[in-house]
Amino acid sequence: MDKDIEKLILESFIRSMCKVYRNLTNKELSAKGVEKMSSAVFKYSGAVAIVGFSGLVSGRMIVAMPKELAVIVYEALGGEQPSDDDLLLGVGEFGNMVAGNAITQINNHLKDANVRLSPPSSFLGEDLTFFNFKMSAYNILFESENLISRLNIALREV
Amino acid sequence: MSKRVLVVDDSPLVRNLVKKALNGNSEFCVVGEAANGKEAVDLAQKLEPDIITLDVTMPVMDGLDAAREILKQNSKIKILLLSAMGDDALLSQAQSLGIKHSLQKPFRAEQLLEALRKLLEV
Repeated sequence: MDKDIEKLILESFIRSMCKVYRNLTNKELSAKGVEKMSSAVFKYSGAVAIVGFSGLVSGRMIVAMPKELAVIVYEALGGEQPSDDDLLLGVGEFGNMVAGNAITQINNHLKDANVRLSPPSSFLGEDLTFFNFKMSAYNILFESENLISRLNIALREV
Repeated sequence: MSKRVLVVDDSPLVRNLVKKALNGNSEFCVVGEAANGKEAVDLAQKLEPDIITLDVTMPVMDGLDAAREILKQNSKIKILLLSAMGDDALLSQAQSLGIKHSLQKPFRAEQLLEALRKLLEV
């Protein structure tokens, strides 16, 4: 994939993650750097949402956060005293918003990109393992109130 | 008289957010909710709302396909697109169906109320 397009995609997702979190919670989220994954495996313990995207550029976004942060997000979405099922709904909707805002920026920048999203899937648990088939992936760390969340963006190799 | 609103979104969290924003406001009252485009088409015919808040990416039938059906049945219904997506191509597709107003998620209650008031000005 063209390096400029790759940069645009990653920056769009980073901006969207910060914007959506700030708009929902009125708190800042800061990005702590981008790292290209050397392994095809992404492991996480906590709450995770996956949203696929396809069009001129295709891939998938994983947003991963500790349970404490998933509770903050759920409450910011208007919920109260969440069960584990509620947290799955909350992190799924958060993932949908982050991906939707990022893809909006990408589509507006790359005319005729026509990238569209799949509905989110969400997971909650220990040692969740994801494997990237024929995709190059990047990890981005974020911090808010001493809680670390992650974006994992995998782009299909063409 | 308050305007009757049908809330359409596959996320119950977002439907609740919309209902909370409109609750206690005398200008609008929520008369129904749907979790996909197909349900929206059926409920729009049954309830004849003044306004529909409509998500785009949904299972079974997406928001734009639902809007096409709904407006074919009743062109007086006003639709506010309420989606995480808001790119020029999507908005242009929506405009070609006659949907001129949209609000991108996440939104605040006051932004939703303002968007609904603007929708009624047209």
